[in-house]
Amino acid sequence: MRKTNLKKKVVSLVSVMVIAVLSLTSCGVNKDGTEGREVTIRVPSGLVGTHPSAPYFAADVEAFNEQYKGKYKAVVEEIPGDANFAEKMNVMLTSGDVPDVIFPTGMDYFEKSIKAGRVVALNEYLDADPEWKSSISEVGLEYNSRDGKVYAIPRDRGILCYYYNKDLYKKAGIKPAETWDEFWSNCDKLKEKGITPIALEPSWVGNIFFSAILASSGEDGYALVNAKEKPTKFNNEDMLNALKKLKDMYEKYADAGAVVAKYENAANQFMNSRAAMVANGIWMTNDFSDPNKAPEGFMDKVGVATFPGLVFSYNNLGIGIGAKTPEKIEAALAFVKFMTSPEKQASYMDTVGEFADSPKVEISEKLMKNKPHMVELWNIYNKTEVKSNIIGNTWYPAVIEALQTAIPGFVSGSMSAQDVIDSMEAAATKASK
Amino acid sequence: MAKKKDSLWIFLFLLPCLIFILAFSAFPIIVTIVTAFCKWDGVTTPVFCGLKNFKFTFLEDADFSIAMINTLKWVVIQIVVQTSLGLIAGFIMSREFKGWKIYRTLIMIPNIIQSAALATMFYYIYNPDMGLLNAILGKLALSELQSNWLAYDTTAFWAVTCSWIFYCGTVGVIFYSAIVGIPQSERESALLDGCTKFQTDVYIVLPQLKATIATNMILSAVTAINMFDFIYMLTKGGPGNSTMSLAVLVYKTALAGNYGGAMSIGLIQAVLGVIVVGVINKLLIREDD
Repeated sequence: MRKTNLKKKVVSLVSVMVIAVLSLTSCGVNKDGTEGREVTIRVPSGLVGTHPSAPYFAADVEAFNEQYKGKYKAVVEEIPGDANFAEKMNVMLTSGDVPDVIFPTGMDYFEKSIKAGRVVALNEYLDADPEWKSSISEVGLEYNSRDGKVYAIPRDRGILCYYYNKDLYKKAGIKPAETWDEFWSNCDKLKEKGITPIALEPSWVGNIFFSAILASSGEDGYALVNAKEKPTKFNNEDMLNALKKLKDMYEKYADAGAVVAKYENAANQFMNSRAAMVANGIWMTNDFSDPNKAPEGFMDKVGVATFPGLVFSYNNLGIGIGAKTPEKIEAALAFVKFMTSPEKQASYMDTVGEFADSPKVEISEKLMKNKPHMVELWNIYNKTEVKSNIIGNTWYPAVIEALQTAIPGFVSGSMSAQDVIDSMEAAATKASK
Repeated sequence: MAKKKDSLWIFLFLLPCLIFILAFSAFPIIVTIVTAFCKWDGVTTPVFCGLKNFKFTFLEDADFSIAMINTLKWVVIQIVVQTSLGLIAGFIMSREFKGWKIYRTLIMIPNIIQSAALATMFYYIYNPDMGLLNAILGKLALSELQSNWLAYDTTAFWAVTCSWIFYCGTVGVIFYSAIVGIPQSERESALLDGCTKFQTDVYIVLPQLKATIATNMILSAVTAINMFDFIYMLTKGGPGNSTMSLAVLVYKTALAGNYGGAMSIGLIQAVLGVIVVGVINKLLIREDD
C-alpha cells in the first residue's frame, strides 16, 4: 500500500516537472514562417566591454539573432579581458563544459580538446556547401585542420609591422631601414638626437622584434621561428647571435625599464612620442586615432614599415563548434557561417583592422580612405618575398614565458645567452612531457 | 555522561563547517592527490604514472630546488618580520593611547587593499625610469644606489619581498586582542612591585602570548608558502628563476600543460605547509598550554 502511494507521488512529481519544463520552453514562429522551437547556443566571448571589437561583435550577434529570429539564438557569455577569457575558456575545455561555439584562445588547448573529441569536425558541412568552402583560404583551412579534419573556420590572419614616428625620424634624418645594418644605424642616429629608438617590453612587442631578428639571422633561425612542430632545442649559432642582438636592443635602444615593462607602457611611450618605433598589428592604428590614448593628430605622424627583408604573416585559429546535439550543431554552424562570411570578414577588416582570411575579400575603396596604414602594409606585404610566422604562434607558451622571464637577467648580465637557451630548453622539455 | 553530551554539541556545531569543507575542499584535495600520480595535460583523461612526476620534480626540474629554497627563505623572513612587527604593533595598540584606533585602521589598510592593486603600485614604485624609489634616492643625492630593482637577480628577491612583508595589520590585531585579554590586575601588581611598563610587557605579558605567537607564526608561514600574486605580478618568478616560489612554479607547470607535474608540486607544497605547522606547534605549543 505504502509502495503504491510512493509510486503515485513519484509519478505526480515527474508529471509536474515535465509540464513545468514544457511550459518554460519557448515556442515561436520562424522568420521563414515555419513553427518550431528556438535553439539557443552558448557563445562565450572576450570581445565585450571595453575591447575595441566589442561594438562590432555585439552588432554582428544582434544581426545573426535578427536573421534567424525564432529559429536560432546566440547568447553571448561575456568574459571581459583577454587573459580572463583565455583562462575561462581553458577551464571550460578542461572541465568538459564545452560551449556550443568556441573562439579558441590558444593552440595548445584547442589541440588537446580536439584529441579529447570535444570539437566538431566540419568537413562534411564544408563539402555540403561548396560556396562557403570556396570563401575560405586553403592555407587558413589547413592551419585549422588536424589529420585531414577541419576543426575551425578562420576569419582573419595576422600581418605585423612596426610603426615609426615620422617627426622623430625626420629629426634624426632617417627613413625606414631596408637592411638590418641600416636599422641599427637608424637607432644610433635617433639616440644621438636624444630620442629613445624603440618602445619595448619583453612580451608581445619584444616577441615581434625578437622573431624578426631570429628569422633574419640565418636558415636555422628562420626554421626555429617557422617550426611546424613546437621546437624543444634552441642551441644553435643563429639563436646565440639573435640573443646578442636582443640584448643590444634592450641595452642601447630602449629605456632601462623596458626589460620589465608591460604592453601598455610601450604603447603609451610610442603614442606620446617618447620613442620612435613600436612593433604591433594593424589594429593598433585604432588607438592612434583614439583621443583617450593618443594626442590629437597623432595618426598623421605615424608611418608603417616592415622589418628588413621579411614581413610577418600568419594564419589564425578560427571559430570552432563544441555543440553536442544535432540541432545545436546546426545552430552553431549557422553562427560560424554567418561570422566567417566574406561580407562579415570585410566589415571586420574595415572596422577592427584585421586582415580578412577569405580570398573573396578585397581591400575596398572605403577601407583605403579609412585605414591608410592598412593599405600601406598590404602593399608592403605583397612586395615582400620572405614571409615569416612569429614565435608566439610556433613555440610552447612556456618557452615564450621562459624567454620573457630571462630577459631582465640576461640584459643585466646575470645570465648568459647560453643560460637563456638552457632555461628555454628546460621549459620546452617540461611542456613536451 | 556530561562529556558525551558536550561531544555531541561540539559535533553539531562543527557539522555545518564540516559539510562545507567536505563539499568544497575535499574534492579538489582528492583530485590533487590522485592526479599528482598521473600523466595529465588537463584536458584528456589522466593516466596513472606512479612516482614519475615526483621523480622529475626532485631530480630533473632545475626550477624546483630554487623555488623550494626561495619559499623556505620567505617562510623564515615572513615569520620573523611579521611576528616581530605584529607583536610591536599589538603592544603599541594595547597602550590605547589617544588616536590608537586610527593607528589600528592605518596598519590594517594594506590588508584590505587587493594584493593585485598593491603589486601594481609596487611595480611602478620600482620602475627604473619613472619610479618613486629611484626618484627619492635621486632627491637624497643617492643616485649611485638607483637600480632597475626588478631586473637584477641581486635586487629582485628583496624588492618582491618588501612589497608585502611589512603588512602586519592582521597579526598586530590578533596580538592586541590577546594582550588586552590578559587580566589587568597581573600587570598592575607588577607595576606596584616596581616594574617598568617595558619590564611588565616583557616578563608578565610576553610569556602568556606563547600560543598567540605560535598562531601568528603559523599564519605567516602559510601566507608565505602560498604567496603567488605579488611574485607573479612583479616578476613572474624572474629574472631567470631568482624569485621563483612553489606557488608560481605550480602555475607555470600547469601553464606548460603539465597538470600532473603541477599537482605533484602542489602536493609537495601542501606537505611543506603541514611540516612547518607541525614544527611550530612542536616548538611553541605544549599539551598543557
